[in-house]
Amino acid sequence: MITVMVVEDDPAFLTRFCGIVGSNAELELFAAVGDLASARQAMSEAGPDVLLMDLGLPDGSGIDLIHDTARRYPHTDIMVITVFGDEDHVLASIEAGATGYILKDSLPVEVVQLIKQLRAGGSPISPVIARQLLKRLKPADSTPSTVAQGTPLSPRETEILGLVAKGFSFGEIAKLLGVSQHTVVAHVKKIYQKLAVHSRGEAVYEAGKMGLI
Amino acid sequence: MKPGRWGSYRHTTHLQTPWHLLVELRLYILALALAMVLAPSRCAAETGAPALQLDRADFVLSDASEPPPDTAAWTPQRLPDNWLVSRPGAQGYGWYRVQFDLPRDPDQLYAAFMPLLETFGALYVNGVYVGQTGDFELISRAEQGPQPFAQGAPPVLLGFPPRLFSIRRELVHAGANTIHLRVWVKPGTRGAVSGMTIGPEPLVRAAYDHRFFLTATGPRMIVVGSAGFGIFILLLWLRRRHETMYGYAGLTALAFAVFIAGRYVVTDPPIPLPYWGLVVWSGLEAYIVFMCLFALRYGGWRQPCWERWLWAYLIVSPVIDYASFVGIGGWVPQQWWLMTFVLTSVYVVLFWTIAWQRWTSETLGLAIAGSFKFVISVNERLLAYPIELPRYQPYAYVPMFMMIGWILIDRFVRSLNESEKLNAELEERIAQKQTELARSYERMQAMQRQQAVVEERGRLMRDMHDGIGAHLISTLSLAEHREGARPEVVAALRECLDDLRLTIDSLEPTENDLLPMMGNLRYRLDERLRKQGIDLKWKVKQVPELACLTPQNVLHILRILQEAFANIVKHAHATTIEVETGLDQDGKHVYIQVRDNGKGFSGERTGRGLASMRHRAKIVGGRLHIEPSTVGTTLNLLLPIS
Repeated sequence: MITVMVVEDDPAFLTRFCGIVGSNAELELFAAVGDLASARQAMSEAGPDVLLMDLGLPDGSGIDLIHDTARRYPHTDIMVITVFGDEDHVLASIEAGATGYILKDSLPVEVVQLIKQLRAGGSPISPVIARQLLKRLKPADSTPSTVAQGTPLSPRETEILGLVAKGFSFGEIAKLLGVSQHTVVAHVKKIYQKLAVHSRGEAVYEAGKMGLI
Repeated sequence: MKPGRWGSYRHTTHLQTPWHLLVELRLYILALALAMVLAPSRCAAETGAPALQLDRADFVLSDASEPPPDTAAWTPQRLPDNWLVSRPGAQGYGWYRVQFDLPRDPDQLYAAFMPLLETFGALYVNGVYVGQTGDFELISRAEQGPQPFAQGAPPVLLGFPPRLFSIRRELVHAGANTIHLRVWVKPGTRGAVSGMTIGPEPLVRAAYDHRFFLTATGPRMIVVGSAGFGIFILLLWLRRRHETMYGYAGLTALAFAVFIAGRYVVTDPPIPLPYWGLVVWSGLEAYIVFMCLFALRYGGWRQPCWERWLWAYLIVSPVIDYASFVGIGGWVPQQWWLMTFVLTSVYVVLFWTIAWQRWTSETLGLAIAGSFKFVISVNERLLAYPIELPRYQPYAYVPMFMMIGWILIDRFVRSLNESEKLNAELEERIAQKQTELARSYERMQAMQRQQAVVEERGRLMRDMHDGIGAHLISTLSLAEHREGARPEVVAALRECLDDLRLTIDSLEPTENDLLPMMGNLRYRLDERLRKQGIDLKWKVKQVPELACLTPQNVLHILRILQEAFANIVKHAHATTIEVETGLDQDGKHVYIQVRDNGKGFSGERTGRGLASMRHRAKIVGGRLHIEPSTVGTTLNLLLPIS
């Protein structure tokens, strides 16, 4: 059983996501709230397995919540609900501690699949995001400009991220590298974590810089 | 004046002694070294067949104003004759008698040439007066006056003057002829009388001219040149005070000019002889001292102690010289003149030391030039030197003169070249900086453009997110939940959203990398294709960066590909789509190939869509090829690399 919490200020979509979770036997709704305060309250005692959340909430930025949750409940997988899956939102979320994102209009099947995939290891990354990750996590000393210091990507992670950036799917990458898809997914999750570790200190700044509220 | 002062004329020389042979040898070597200045000085007279060299004479000390008869007390006297040596203490009038034979009567003007007659002289040929040097009237007037030699005193006649007396041809005849030379020697001076060359006037005049050039014209030129050179360098030094080396070089040239003028050019000193001697000697001493100082500075030695001693010598020397002239002080003032040789040796040693330390043509040249002067001085002043031979002392400074000039020119040219080079380098550096500036300006502009794009994108994104996006999402949600909603509406709404996402994707910074952009398209479309049962084979390869990937162009390319996929999904009924990228054969384009295995389409059906695709390809600067066939269609989009 995977417990899922949904934070979404649009009632229609809140209902929709709750419906998707509720209609699947393997998923259990942890909580469904429409603002930050309620979300914090809901998670005051314990965290869900998966947190689905919108970033633009009426009483503040979801980034802060992601940040807090990732710190308090390291085992919670956080997925950001986004309309476009665009770089700015997704990267900021990942940097705050999210490990994947989901398009707001995803079909119920896709949502369930993504949640399971996320629980199993990692969620897919779009090539543009992958390239941004590559840029930020380049092996140390190549570019001192961005975050990358302390935990640069391993050669394998770099390779995988590079292939993702070229548009290859996890399955194709697994085949190309001669490893299981599971390994690839695990690598990807690690990459997410690295970015989060990197930029925890900067997340707030970054979020502010990107004008995300 | 003491005889020692003027060096070698203390000695008489006899042509046959071994000593004289040695002198001749020295002269020969010297003559080689002086090849430039020295044309063969005695040749003309010696080789001219009819010219006679006369060096045997008879002498009688006599006041007679006409040639004394043969019965007078003639004594043989070899020429050249130097009164200070052959009859010390003697002064006043004397007569020389020279005899020679001619085979026949001459048929042209005759002449007698004396390389040296440094006193008053009147020449008589066979008893007939032919000419004189110096005004004998002055002598008799002075002798009769109350104060002999004070007012209107006869001049001293210095400076090694050569003399030429023309002789009318009827005065000489075949057979024995006699020449009488009347001289008057001023007290305290030497009476220097050289041998005589008698012959046809043109031949003898040539020898005279040559000798005159060597001993009169040349030294005058040297004096003018040296003085000019000295003033020039001193002016240069005045503008560059810190280069004291040049100051000393200029003083050296000036002092040398004074010395040569006094010793070799001025025949009638403007001031009494002892004082005149002081001027000349001080010139020489100053020349040597300044040369030492120049050598010290040139070698980069700062020796205040040495320099003080040199200046002290320069100041003390005239006093000691004067003592020597007036004959007081004994041995030291008498031999003080040898100090010039000591100091000359000093600067020669200095120059050679410099040359030894820095072996360059310049230092070597200076060392040789310094030695040259030294050798000439030793030869003509320290060693015995026949008085009738020409003196090369005036020319001794010429090599040094040229060396210093050359050093000046060399430094001047080099500093000019260096400043030119520096300027050129500076200009180059400025140009470099300018291009760098231009480049960084371009970079800044590019960054600004990019920044503008990012800002614009952020604004658009927020707008779309909160506006169109939110509305579309709500509408979609509504449509999906409304019972009996038409699936076409839902599909249209989703297409709308996809389109919006495509636009947003196109705004992502590509950094001229094609693949992430295409990957993102795939990422967007994959799910839908899978649902259609279409297998997407992704065969992309890394391609060079494309300069054309601006957000607008990216959108065009994405739309072309989107259209291609849409066509396949809608019309082709394909099961596989292969997407491939790579470098085109021409190496100037990157191709994107989309190949399906569905049924090929004919042009008219997708005519409008195709036209729009082609149009977009053209805007991007690329080309679009579509090859329909019965088994699938191949679309090739060529994009220019630069």
